[in-house]
Amino acid sequence: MPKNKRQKTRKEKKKINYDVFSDEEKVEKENPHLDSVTNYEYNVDKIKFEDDEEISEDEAFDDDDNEKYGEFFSQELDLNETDLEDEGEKGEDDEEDFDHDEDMMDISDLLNAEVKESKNSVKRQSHNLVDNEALQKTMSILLPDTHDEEETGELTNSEDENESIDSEASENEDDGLVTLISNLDTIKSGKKRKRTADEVTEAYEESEYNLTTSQNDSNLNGTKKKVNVSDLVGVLKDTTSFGGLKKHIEKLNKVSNNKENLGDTLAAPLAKRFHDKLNREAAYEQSKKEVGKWGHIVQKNRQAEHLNFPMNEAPKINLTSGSLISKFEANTEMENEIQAVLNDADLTEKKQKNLEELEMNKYTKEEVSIADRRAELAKMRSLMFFQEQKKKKIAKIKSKTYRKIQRKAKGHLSADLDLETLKSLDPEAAKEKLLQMERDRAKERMTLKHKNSGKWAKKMLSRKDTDSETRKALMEQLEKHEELKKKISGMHSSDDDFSGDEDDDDEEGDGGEDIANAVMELNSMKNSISDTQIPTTGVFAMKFMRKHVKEQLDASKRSIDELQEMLESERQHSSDFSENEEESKLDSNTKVSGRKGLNSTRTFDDNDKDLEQKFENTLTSSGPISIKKPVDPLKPLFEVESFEDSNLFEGSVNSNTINSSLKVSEVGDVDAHSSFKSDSLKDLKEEVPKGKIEDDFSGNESNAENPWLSSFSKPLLKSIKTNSQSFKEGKQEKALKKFAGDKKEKLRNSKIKNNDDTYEKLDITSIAEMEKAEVDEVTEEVTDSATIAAAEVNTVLTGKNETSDDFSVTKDMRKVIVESDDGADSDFEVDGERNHFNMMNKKDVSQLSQREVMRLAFADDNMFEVEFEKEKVSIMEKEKPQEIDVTLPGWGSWSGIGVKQKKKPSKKHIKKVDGIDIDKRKDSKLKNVIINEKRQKKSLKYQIPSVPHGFNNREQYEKTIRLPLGKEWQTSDTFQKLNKPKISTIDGKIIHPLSSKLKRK
Amino acid sequence: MKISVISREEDITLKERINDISKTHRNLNPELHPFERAREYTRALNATKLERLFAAPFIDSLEGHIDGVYSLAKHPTDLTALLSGSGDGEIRYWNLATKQTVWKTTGHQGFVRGMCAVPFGNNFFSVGDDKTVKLWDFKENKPLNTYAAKNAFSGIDHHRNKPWFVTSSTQIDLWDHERADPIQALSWGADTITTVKMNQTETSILASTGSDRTIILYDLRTSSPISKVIMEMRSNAISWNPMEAFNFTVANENHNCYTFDMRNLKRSINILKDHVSAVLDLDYSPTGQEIVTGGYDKTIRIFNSREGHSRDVYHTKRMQRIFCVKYSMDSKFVLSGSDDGNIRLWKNNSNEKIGTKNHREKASLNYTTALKERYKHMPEINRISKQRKVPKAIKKAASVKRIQTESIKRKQENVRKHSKPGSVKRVPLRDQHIITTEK
Repeated sequence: MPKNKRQKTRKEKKKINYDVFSDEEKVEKENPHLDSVTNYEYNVDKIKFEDDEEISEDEAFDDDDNEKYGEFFSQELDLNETDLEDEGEKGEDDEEDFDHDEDMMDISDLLNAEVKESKNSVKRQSHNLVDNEALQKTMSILLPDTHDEEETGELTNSEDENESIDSEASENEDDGLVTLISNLDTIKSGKKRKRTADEVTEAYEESEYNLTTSQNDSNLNGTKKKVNVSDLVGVLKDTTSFGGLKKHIEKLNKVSNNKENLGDTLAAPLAKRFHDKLNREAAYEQSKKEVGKWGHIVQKNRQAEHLNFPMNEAPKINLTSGSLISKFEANTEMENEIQAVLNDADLTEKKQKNLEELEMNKYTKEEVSIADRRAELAKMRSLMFFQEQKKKKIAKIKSKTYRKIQRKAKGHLSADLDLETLKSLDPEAAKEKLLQMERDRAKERMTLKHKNSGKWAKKMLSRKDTDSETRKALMEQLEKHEELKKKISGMHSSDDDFSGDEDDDDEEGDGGEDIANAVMELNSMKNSISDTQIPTTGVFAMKFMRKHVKEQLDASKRSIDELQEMLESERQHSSDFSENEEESKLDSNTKVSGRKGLNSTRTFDDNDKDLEQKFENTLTSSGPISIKKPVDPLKPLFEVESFEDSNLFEGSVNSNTINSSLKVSEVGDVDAHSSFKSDSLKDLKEEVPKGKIEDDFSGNESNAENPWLSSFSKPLLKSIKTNSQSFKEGKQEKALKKFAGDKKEKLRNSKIKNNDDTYEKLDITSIAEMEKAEVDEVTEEVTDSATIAAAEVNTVLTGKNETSDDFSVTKDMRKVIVESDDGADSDFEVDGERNHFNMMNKKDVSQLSQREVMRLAFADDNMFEVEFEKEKVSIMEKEKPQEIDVTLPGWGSWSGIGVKQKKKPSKKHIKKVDGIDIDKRKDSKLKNVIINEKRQKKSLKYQIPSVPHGFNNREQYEKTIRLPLGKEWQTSDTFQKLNKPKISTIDGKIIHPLSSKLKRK
Repeated sequence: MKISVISREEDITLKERINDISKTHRNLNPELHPFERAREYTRALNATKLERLFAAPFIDSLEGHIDGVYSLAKHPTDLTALLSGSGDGEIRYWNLATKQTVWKTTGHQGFVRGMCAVPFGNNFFSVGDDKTVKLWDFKENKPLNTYAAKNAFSGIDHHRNKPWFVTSSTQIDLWDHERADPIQALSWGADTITTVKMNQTETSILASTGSDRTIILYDLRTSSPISKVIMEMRSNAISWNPMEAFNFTVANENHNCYTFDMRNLKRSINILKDHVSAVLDLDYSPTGQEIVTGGYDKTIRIFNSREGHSRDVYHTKRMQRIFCVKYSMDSKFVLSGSDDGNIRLWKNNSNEKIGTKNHREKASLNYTTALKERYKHMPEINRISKQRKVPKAIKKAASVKRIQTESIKRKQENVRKHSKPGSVKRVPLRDQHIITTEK
């Protein structure tokens, strides 16, 4: 019931407020868009007669109320948190009001009719208000409306008074409003009167009294007097209290007088529903923002590779004795006691430290220096100790190789130094060294150990096909022998201050010899350079490698030439002193080699050996090919100059051609067969013309007449003939003839040059051979090769004449012929037949070149292709979709005479076999491929049908499974890292929710 | 002549005791270990098979309740404490270590609807249909305090670090331990609220589900509801992710669970499917990585919280409809209370070995787990690891459900096909079950 009251009063108050503010007209002017609903409210004001309650209520202001009321006008109210309960119930109250009021109605009926009448009208109005509330709410946002329910809180205090006033008013129902106002004082005194019946009923009842307000208004307007604020407040003038209220009213009056100020009216608060909504929205925004502060940690945890729970664990503290001591505080009794004892004895950490420092301060300067000395000694001792340890360790090493290296390293120092320098540095060591040298010399002279007289050396020498390494080793031995046998000169000169003539002679002689030796050495080296074969197989056979090797060889040759020039000049220099001696000493070989340098001023040093050594080094280190030393330095040589001189057709001859020519010479040697290579021939055959070869022959004076030549040239020519017969080409004939004619002429010229008859014979043979070739219309290359072959044969013969018997020569010859063919073939593009023919000529498969082997292997390529095509077609046919007729003849059909045979098998007897159409095959347009499109059932379980969820493509997925995880493939560290579980928890450890510390502020 | 041999010194290589670890030397030369992928695949396959072989999730059932168990509560800071309330008002306090009832009492008349332990104390609260909230001490079976209210309660939850708890009835009430009356009342709409859960990370926020199919969020700081979602069907339970303050999951009547981000309630961020009947309760694992759900279909399912389908399903022959599920606070065990009056204790990972593991064992397990994870897409491994034997009824229901959903989908597609292009829009599944969000 009190609630209802409150409700009622609230609404009444509302009306009063309007009164207070202004007349209705003013309001309407202010708010021209007010609708009829609001008008109702305003019209209420016009009720004079029935509105007595409201008036009385308003009159009943006391001090407290005044204050409250005053505040109300000045401040905007909002939902207070303490009023939660009220608010919660508010909604229900609103709805329930009417029911209760209906009950009230009954009670009020008991009262007299007039009261009822007046009240009903009031209630009606208030009801209308309530009724319209919903509508108003919708508009309330826009309209400056009355202060709504929010007032309740403020007004609760005045409730009692209001009630009492209400009851009072009911008693004075007969009197007019004016009288009531005049009697206000008396009313005030009767505050505490007991409440009788409650006249506040809001039930709506259809009756003559429940007329619409507009009607009421029109009726009442004329009859009743309108109540003004001044009327209401006039009474207060006499009283001294109500100061605040008076002031307020003055203010209000001012406001009402001043029309412009009307705009200051406060905006009406929103309807609760909307108000709440806005509140909620704001609150939601706020909470969203607050909750969003967790975002970073959530994100971090989601992206983390490993999460360890519990998460908010405090870090483990490592307890060390130091940390314990520093934080130690005596707590228990015993600890305290011990502490006290320690303190008494000054045994605390701090004090101990201080004491130590004090002790240190006591030392004098000397003592400090003594301490320093002691420290130094200690250091020395420790160093010695470590040295000793090291030595012991080294002494323990049993490795023979290590010892050997050590020994060598030891000897190296003294060996490196000259006797002279050694003497100046350490005469003792020098003497020792001298002694050693003497001893060695004596020993060598006695034993001749290094004169290839050893067991191994003999064996090696007895073997004919010694390789370069052994040869080199043998040479080294000989050199050592020489070295050891040498007189020890340095010592003599030092011993005797000035040596006699003999010594000088000796020295000079030595010098001349040395030069001669050096020249010889150089020659042999040159030979060896030209002897070096460029390998035809393996990596070194590649073009660029060969080129490189060639360059290196050229370079070394150039340097040799330089040196030779230098030596030459030196020799000249020395020849001024003794010409005769020199001439006698010079070898025939050295004569041939190179021109004489005239303007060389360089002096020839004693240590020419060193120079040689250097050269050797450069040679050996220059490339991958080891250069061997010639076995026989006296062997006749084909010199570069001689080649160039005799070259009739081409101006330049590169080192390769020299190379090959040298090889030709070697054919005559022991290992002719092994060193003779088609490569060299290939290079040779184009660049070395026939005439030149003839010249070479002419240069060889030893083989003047060769009985073997004519006889052996015939089969050779025959073979050429057979070769060439198969490739006759008409067009080339004339050109060839012309070419041959030219050659003939030139050859003849050269022949004229050579006056010797014996040579003519040779020439004739060669010319005849040429002519024959021409007549047979041999292709250019074949003739070339043939001639070269012939030339080689000649050389072979010349070389062999002295050393080997006839039979071996013939054998060699054949080989040469065969190989010359081979060489020609490998270089020139020729068709298969000829090739085949050549290959047929060969006796040995091993002699086939790589290229030929490949050719042989793929000789029937076309056949394979055809076979492949056939196979592909058959597979395509087999795998295409097929329809197989599976009808069993006789089954399911009539038999007997006159029965027609079905032409087409019924559909159910046709078995369809799935397959792939030929056009749809993946390999239908691919030439050399058959793709098997059958599903491989066995491999199916190892295949993932599609790229798994979360991966964009196959590669991405495969990347994740690439690295193996197991111990067999990973170190234990990586193993652990790779297999660390994503989420690890600990048994029995509580995992708390995230702590608010982690939240971002 | 020198002969080099592998020498193994006895005192290094021989074990003195059984548990001694002797160092094994491995040659990592890849030539000695060929076919690494094939071998690892085989290992993964074997590990998967073994995993299924050793899958035995059921540990024990805690028997004693006469009526069904409709509410369970764990102590947030005590691993062994478990509370259960049944339909006849009986409250039991269990010791999980011994699997025994410590004490029991008839706490309420009618159902015990909810219980919650005080995280920082030795007390717990219980609410029931008898319109009372009771405060208990773990030590004795008599209530320390009783708070009376006007309506029957449906749920209770405690604040993480303040002496506050919230109850749900027709509205949400916030109570203080010390006060006889609620200190705040929160409501939005008039319908009954079925459950309430407080956010344990962002402690001022709480969420409730109502019988009017709503999920409502409240904030205690502004002491007002903040947002509301109305779904197609009502939600039975709600659980906040303890590691992600803004995410919560609701167990819905339509067999699914929906995870929401409270900042955007217009769509769920994940749907957990697989149950074939209403999901009645769910709980997040304390790690926030997994969710356990209990359904009306008599199964417990464990989901990866960010995946759509369950990774495991637990059921037994005698287990009836499951009304409450809980994760243990160390995320190793799952507890379920069902209609048949038993509380069942399960392992979280069905094949996990309980008890301490030595280093090598751990390393080996980690290795096999990593392998399984790596090769999980391989058809055979995938098949074996996903295969679960479920009761016939559930299998049947699942297949029926599948047919139904397919048919619905088909129909939608047909409608789409036969109407003006663009007029029938595709609604993502995550939006489908949300009717509106209100402010």
